[in-house]
Amino acid sequence: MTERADLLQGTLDLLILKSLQLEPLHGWGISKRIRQLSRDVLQINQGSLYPALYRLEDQKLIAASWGISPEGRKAKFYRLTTRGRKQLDTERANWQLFTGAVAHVLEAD
Amino acid sequence: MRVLRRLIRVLRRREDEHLLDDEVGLHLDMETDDLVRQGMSRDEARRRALVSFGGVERIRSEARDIRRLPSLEAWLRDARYGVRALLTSPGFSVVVVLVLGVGAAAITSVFVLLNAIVLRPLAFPESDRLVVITHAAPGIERETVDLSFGLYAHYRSHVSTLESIGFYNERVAYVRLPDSGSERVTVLHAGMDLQRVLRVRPALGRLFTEEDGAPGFLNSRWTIPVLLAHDFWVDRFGADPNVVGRILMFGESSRRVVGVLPPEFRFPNQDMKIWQLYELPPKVIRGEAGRFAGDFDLNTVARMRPDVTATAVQAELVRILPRIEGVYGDATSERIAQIGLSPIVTPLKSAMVGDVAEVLWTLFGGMAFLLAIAVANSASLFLVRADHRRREVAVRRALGADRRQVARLFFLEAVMLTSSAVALGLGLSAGLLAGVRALAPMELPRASEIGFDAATVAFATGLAITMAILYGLLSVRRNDSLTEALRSGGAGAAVLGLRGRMRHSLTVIQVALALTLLVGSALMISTYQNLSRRELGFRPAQVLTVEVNLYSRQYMNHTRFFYDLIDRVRRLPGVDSAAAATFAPLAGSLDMYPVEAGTAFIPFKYFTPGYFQTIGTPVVDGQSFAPGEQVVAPFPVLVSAALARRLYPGQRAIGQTVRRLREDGSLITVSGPEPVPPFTIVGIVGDVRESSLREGPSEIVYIPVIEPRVELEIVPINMSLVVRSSVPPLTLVSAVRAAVDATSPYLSVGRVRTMDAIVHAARAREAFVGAVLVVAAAISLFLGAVGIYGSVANLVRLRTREIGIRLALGASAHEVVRSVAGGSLGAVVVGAALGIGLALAGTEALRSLLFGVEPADPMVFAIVTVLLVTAAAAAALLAARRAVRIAPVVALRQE
Repeated sequence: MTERADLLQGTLDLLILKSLQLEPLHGWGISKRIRQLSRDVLQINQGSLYPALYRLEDQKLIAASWGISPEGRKAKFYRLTTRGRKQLDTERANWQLFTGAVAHVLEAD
Repeated sequence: MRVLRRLIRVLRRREDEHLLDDEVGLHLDMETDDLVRQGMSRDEARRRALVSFGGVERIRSEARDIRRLPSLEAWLRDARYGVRALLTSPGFSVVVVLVLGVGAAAITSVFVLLNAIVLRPLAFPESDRLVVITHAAPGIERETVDLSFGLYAHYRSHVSTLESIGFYNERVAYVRLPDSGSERVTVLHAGMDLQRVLRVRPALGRLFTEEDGAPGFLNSRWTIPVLLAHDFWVDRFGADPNVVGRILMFGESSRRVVGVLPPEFRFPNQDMKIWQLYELPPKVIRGEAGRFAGDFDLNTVARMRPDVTATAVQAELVRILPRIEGVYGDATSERIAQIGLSPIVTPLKSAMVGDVAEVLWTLFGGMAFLLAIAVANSASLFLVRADHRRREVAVRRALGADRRQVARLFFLEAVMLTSSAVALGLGLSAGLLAGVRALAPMELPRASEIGFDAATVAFATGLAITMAILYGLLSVRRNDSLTEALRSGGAGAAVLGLRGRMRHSLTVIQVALALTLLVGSALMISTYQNLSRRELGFRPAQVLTVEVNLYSRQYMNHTRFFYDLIDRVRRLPGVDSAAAATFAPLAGSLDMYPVEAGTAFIPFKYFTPGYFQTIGTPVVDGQSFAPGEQVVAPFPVLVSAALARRLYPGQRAIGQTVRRLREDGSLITVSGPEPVPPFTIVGIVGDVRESSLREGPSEIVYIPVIEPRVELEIVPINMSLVVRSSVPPLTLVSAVRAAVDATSPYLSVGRVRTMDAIVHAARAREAFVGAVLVVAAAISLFLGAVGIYGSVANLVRLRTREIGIRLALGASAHEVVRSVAGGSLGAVVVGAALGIGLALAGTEALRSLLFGVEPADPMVFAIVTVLLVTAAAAAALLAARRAVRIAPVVALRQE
């Protein structure tokens, strides 16, 4: 089993938005997608995934609709709204600024 | 919007949680499957999935928090709390419910009248397609005339925008009933066309058929068929199902009942009791007989084809009217041009409702003002209450209630208060309307339709909801601003500043609206006084009027019957004098005829000798037909002074002759080709207002009922006895009735009224509108004064400490009063100024009701403004006096 990292506070929203960038997914799909994209490093705490989804939905960054999953089950699919796309861009820029800055600090002699 | 969304969410809450379970279930299944694919046993995989997911219940509750699904329990808890909170301040609750309840009662009552009379469609199928046809006839100086036989037949055969045209006449008949003797009833004379136009269906029996009219109206062996109005059938025939086929006696002639009309069928109004078949002779319909300009006395109602407007119908009638030339003997081009008819097509509803619509809208506006005052008044109470609850709200917020929860509480309280107020208002309004129906303070069309209906309930509900939202918002905003003010530290000044602005604007609103209502009521009082002070031209006190009908086949003996009756009545104890005329002043419609001099139609009125002495009208010149007086001139008549002035300016009218003409302007012949001789004027009667208090003195010809007859063609068979007595007039009624019965079985009694009541009825509309506005203005003045008193008193209470310090430091009483009452007095002045502007615009709506006073009467405005400002200032100063009496030591010790 590979090593797993805890999520930094506030990054979950960013990851959810990113995972929905390509296509609408249901809740489990989102957690699976994040695990895959992070090469199994990031393991979403499922207990915080759903509250985060509802929060984002309430903020109108993502929208939900009921549909049928590839496995043929009734599932709730989340997709990015226009607002969500903008938010993703902003947060990604912020994140890069932040990690860049942290990297500079750490690499300073 | 947000409230609505949340409400939907509350309702959908169960479904929501169900879906949440679906979503979690799917997640767990997928996770389990994934683990199984990695080689785990299914049970183990399931367990791991559940463990890694964490508590399902916790997610559920977090989801709920995020979505802020308020539980029904929370609403109920708040409602219970609200009831308790309102019960702990019963003074506030009771006052608010009373004040708003009175406002709601006022506006709802007028709404019910407006809805029943003006807004609701008439009770006929597709009634918006019904129109009334009349004509303006400037050539004969008539504002409106109805249709002649010729015009009716002409339109009926040529018009294409109308589906059907019906005509009718209203007549009075004295009907003999099994138990109650003979009764005066209004009879509708109309035929099959009207049935078609109104699409009436019988409640019992059948309607008229073609065969009914076939025998012809001149056939004396034929019994004319009639239909009974539903209420008449219930009241007089006990809803007897066997009434069909019964014979009714109209005087000495008989009618056959063929059916009963449906209960909602009231045409042309609720007075109609019997519908008697009446058809035009076929020759007239075919255009072979009849006249173009005979009597213009057929009332017409027509049904338009679908998608046709009244304007289009009118345009078509204008087009086809000239084609009547040559169809009838008298339809010459000169005659048509001389009369100058122009068709007027009016929707039936506006024709039936008439100018009452305007009166009701005016009252509605007045009551809206009263309601607005009540709302503003209660708003200041809500402000005081919100101020007092600062601490409670602060505690709630500190304990974790968020703004929405506090707002919910305020809204619930507001809903409870306003819905109680509206419920009270509906109760009061039901009482008021019962009063209006019973007392009939003014004549209202469609009066029988007045009552609560779905529209009333919707109106009242809307009222309660609107007010609740208003007060909810007010309380919420108040507390928000208070909290901010407190947070910003400098409590006193900021809070007082806010309070001042809000409260003063409420004062301004109340004063401005109250001033408008006061001006309106003062104008109506002035109008009523002006009408009451009008020279009537007769003395109404101590006079009884009794309508008496003579069976028409006895018309040759009318003089004998009426003289006999008057003799009997004169001998009754308590009677000073008695006489008769075709109608009492202000009590009847005038029959107008053309006269030789001039083009205007002049009304004629028959009278028996002694009439002018009895009614109290002086005869100013010539002979007066006092009882026993000998008049020697041939065909003597009297004329009113107004008519004498116009016909014979600068000359003496006595000795002049005047000739009545037929409606078409031709000379009257009775037997042989010789026209009847003209009347000789033998006396001039002092001016009387015969038809309306608003009009000038009537121009009228008075024809004596004497032998030999003066008017040879028309005989009065309906007369009104006028009886002047030394006893209260109404105590004579039974004796007069007995005298009528004793005189002849051919006589029957109609309406019995005192002359005072008739005069009162002539200004009933002004009295009613005036009374309503006076009551509304009095309430608004009271509410305004109490509101200002309360506002200043509250300020004094809140500033007790500060005032104590000021007084201790030597401030004069004068300064203290100015500091607490100054703001309110300023608001009163601003409100009065605004009110004057508002009243100038608002009283324009009263113009048509006013008499002898202009809507912008400066005197009225001055008096009202002084009255209102004085009352407001008195209220403010009275409250401010409490400040001066504050003992500094007590005040300082208070906190």
